[in-house]
Amino acid sequence: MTIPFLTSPAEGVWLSHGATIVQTAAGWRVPESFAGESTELRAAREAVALGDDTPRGKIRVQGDEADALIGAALGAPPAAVGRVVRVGTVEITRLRMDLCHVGMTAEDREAVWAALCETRGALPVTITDVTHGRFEFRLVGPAAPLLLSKVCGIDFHASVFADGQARETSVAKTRQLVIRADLGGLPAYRLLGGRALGAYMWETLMEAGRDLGVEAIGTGALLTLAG
Amino acid sequence: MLRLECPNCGVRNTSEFRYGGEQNPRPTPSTEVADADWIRYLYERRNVMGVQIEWWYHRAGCGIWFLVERDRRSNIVARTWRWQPDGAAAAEGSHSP
Amino acid sequence: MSGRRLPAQTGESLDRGQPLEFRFDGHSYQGFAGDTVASALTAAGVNVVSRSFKYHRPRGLLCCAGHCPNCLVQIGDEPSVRSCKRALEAGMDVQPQNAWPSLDNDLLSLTEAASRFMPVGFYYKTFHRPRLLWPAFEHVLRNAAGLGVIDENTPEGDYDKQYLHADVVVVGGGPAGVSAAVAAVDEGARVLLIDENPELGGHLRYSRPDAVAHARIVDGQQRLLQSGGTILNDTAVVGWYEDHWLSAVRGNRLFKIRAGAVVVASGAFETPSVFAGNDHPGIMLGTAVQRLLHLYGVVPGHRAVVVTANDTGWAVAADLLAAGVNVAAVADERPQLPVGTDIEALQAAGVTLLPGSTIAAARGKSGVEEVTLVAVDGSSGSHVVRCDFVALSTTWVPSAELAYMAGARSCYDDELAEMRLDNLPDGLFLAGRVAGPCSAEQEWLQGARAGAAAAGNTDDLPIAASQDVQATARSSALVAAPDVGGDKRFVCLCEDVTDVDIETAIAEGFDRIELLKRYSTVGMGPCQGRMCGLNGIRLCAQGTGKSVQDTGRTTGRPPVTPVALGVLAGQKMEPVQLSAVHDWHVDQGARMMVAGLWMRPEHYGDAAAEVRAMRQTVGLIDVSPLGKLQLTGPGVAAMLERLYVNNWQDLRRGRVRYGIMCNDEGVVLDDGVCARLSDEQWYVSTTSTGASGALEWMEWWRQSGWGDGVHITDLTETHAAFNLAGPQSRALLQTQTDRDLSNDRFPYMRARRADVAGVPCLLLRIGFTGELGYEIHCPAGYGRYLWQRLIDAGADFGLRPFGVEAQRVLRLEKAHFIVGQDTDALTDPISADAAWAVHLDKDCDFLGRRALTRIATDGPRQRLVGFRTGRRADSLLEGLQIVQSDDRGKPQIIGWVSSCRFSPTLQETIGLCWLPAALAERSEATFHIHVDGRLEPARVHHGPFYDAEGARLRG
Ligand SMILES: [Zn+2]
Repeated sequence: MTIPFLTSPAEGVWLSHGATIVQTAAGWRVPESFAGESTELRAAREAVALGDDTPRGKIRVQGDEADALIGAALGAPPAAVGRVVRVGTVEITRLRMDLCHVGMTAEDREAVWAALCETRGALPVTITDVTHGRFEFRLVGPAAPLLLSKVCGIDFHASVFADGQARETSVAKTRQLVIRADLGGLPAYRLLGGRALGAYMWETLMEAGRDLGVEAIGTGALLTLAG
Repeated sequence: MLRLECPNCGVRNTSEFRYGGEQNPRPTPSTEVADADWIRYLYERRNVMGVQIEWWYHRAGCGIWFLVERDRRSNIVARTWRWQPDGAAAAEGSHSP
Repeated sequence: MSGRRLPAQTGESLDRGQPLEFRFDGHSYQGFAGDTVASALTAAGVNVVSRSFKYHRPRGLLCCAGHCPNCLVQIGDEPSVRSCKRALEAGMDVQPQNAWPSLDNDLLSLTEAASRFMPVGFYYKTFHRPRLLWPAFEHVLRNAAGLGVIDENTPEGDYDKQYLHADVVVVGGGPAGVSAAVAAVDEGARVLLIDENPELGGHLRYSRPDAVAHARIVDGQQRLLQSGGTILNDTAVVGWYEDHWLSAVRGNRLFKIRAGAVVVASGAFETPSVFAGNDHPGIMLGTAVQRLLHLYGVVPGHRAVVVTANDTGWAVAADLLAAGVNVAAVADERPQLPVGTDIEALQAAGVTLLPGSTIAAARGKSGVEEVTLVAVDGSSGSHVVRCDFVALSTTWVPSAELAYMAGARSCYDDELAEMRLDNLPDGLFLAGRVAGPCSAEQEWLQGARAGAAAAGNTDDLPIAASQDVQATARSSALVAAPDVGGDKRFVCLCEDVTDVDIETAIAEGFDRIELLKRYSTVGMGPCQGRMCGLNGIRLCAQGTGKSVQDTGRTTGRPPVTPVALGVLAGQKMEPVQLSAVHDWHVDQGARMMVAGLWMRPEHYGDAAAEVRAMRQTVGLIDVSPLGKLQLTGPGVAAMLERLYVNNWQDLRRGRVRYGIMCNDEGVVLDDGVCARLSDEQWYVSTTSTGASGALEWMEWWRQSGWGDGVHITDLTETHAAFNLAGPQSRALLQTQTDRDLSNDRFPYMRARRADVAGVPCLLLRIGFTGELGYEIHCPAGYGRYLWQRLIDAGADFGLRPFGVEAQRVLRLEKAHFIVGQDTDALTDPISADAAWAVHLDKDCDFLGRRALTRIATDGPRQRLVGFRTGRRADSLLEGLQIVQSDDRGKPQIIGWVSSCRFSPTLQETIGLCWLPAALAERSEATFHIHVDGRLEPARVHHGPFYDAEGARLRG
């Protein structure tokens, strides 16, 4: 039997940006590079770059006891609404008093899932793997806040939306979770939205960033940035 | 554009929200309510010129339904809060920093 | 050359080393980099720039500040460009507007000869009746009116939008604005300073050069930028909306700005006075002359007359004199000549100075050639003075549109003859000339005070202008010049409205300022009342005997200045939802259709073949857009009982049931199947287009008291979903999974988890299409892979993918309704032939119970029922009406067709329709569908058209 492969919703539009596609160990097809690592890194360091992190694990934990469960299973309870707590590579973002988004690398997903499910016991908490339900894009670079200000009405100024903060809001007329998660000393954001909107969002962000010199950035250059 | 304070997310542009109409509790049990009360519930809206308690839904944000006390003459919002089972006014909702 | 270009001026914006060629009205000209189109035209000796809107009179520059309609031109394919604001570029092709066939020889100017036939309210009176002729009138009006030409071949421009946020937004970059911005930033505020010009400085840019003041601006700009402030040049703030939400435009970009507080430091502008022939080219505002002189080193002529009522005009006259222009006369409305160095210089040069005088008439052919100056009180005789341009410095109007939009009131200051503002809303502050006349030092002080107040650190205490400032800055109190006969006296240049038109309108009863505006169209043109607003109000006051204050002003609304439609449209941003298999559908040549935000394959070329393949072998359709909700918790069954008309408590694990959701009016909102995966985990599907509405509806009930112990998770996009259906579907699917799919182990209306082609899936054995079938739900990331595996495996089974069109036919053959297609906002499930799903005997008070109980008792009046025709009837379409003759033989509408298709399976046209209950109950009863005046017969059919027993589904 062939090994199942997994696709990001933006795969079709990456190809129009000249992506080189490779398959990860977990089976996800990802864009390793676009215009070449040096061009991509220059855009990320001097302007803004858009990458695709869709394979990242995304788990939704809902219930009044979500805090207790996450604290026990992952070693740190969530912080206030709109704040991110990082435990190793796991990011816990509180969306509501009774709802958290837990993000992690694709490799860690199964372990985190297992930890949460084992700890739940009889707690009235719903744990749902929504990895496949959301695209996850990465905007990196000094011009990233400026690009976002062209498609989103909330304030991206560092004084009110700093690293480690998150907002659920309207981006390009769609509902998204925006997490500021800086990368390699550069301002960076995660954008998570409905998977079916992924191609639309990719194209809209590239278009909005055109005058800022936006480049698509591959997984190779993203790794380099993360150092 | 007006702004509205989501009890969960804080102040946002009203374009992030869906209006849900004036608060209109459902009389129960429906089969035993007097006709006049049932008709009032189904079809009659108070449409006050003054302070109204109304529903809003944070569609582009956290997805909660909440109540807003708004003066329809001035658009001044006195408070916003999540519905509570006992019907009592909840304390101000906690929200983001 | 016309000799109008002066030697280099201090502070001019020109780069004289860079000449630029351009064309205007077919002729070639030359200007410099730094010129505007208008300044270059003026330097080239062009006086007439446009023709007026109604009478097609020649018009020249008036304000040079982007307010008036006179300088509107067409540049390339862009109509209605303000040439006084547009920077000159090499090779520009500039065309005059409203001129046909040419600017010099405009045939429509003949309309002026007929102007007595075009009275005020002309459009209302003339084109009102008869209504039948309106199309003809419209054609005439479209040709005669309108500004510029739209080129339909113009490519889409790059327009976009940006959101900005600031604690304090300062509008206006003159001394008061810069001072306010610096003060606010010093208080720690995030400051955004917006100015419509390419550089800061406001009136300092074009008034007589002042090195000290200029240095203060430069210093303020540096301090602002060093402290993290932002400056937007070339940006016009065009609207104020609630909660200090501002719109501003720069080039092709629209800014939407949320401000904590706003400082309006937008200054004031001059407006023309009313006298005979006051629209002749060459008659312009004093500040326009100053701009041309100091910014562009251009004079608009060689022999000037200056008319003033305050000290501004004397500065203009002295500047002209210093620039070598022959100043023929200066008329000042004030009875005493003021004292000062400007006057001394003019006196020394022997210029005729006329106190207590003003202009009453101007004459000329294509431009002003002579003017009549008279005593304001009519006491002495008149002077006729030859000149080739006139500078008018008589009346100031505060540039206060934003403050008015924000709710400020105007109050007329009779002493100053100027509008002042009061009743400012919270968080809005005025600084500088917009708040009234003030000295140079007061501008800085007011700005600093307003900036600090806007930053929240002091109370704004207005600094009153001193008496001496008021005396030198007051506007003309004359409503109009003494009438000496002669040419028309224009009030509104945009719409060619005269003082006589205003008087006539008032006499006809339009004596309120808002009515007067609408009837006479005064103030309704491109200047939006900037040039004519105050004169209109004063004339209205005079005509009605009211005070100017009591006359009031018309409501100001955004935009302050005209905005291109492209700017409002912005970047293309239309969300579209694509399934994981979208690219495959497109590659296979599917015809895609829009369904809500989703793109779906309508068919892959031959919908009828897709229907046949599915009935005979097996078909596969992408149903990923289906709404998919996960409900978890101990309270789910109880909640579903209340939201749906069906029973749920008795649904056992691993089972699926069709459900209908109604509101309390008994109206069908949505339908779908619910699977109980475990005691506390349910999987609920909704219609594709109703998914978000259903979620919000459920969430509302959950969050307002019916959701104890229930969590809802939207999995619509988390799962791709495919429906594999047809007699061969089991055999095909069995090749891809180890789970036993036999009818015993996996019967109809059951849910099972299974690995399919190595992908974890949820399988629902349901059958919207009426054949054996499986709805396969898998994690969306696997969607593309799994689809391909099923297609590949299906090759041996005759599998054919099918689209939405085939699905519509297939479900119609089973007489299943589609919510929103066969039902509307009044449809209840009992009338829609789904009474079997309604359980009025439930022991909970579910939504719709009361209404449905009543309908069940009274019986429905209309019913949804199937019909067949026994033939192929392609003329039958959805939406057609069903008619029946009444007792007197008159046809009456008794129903309508909600679904209709030719069935490839049955080889006849079938459908669903709404009929009176009595008729619908009679199987085989004949009725008639009205098609283009014909009556097409059809027969009532009960139950599914195909496999009525459902044996194929269950087998
Ligand atoms: Zn919210």
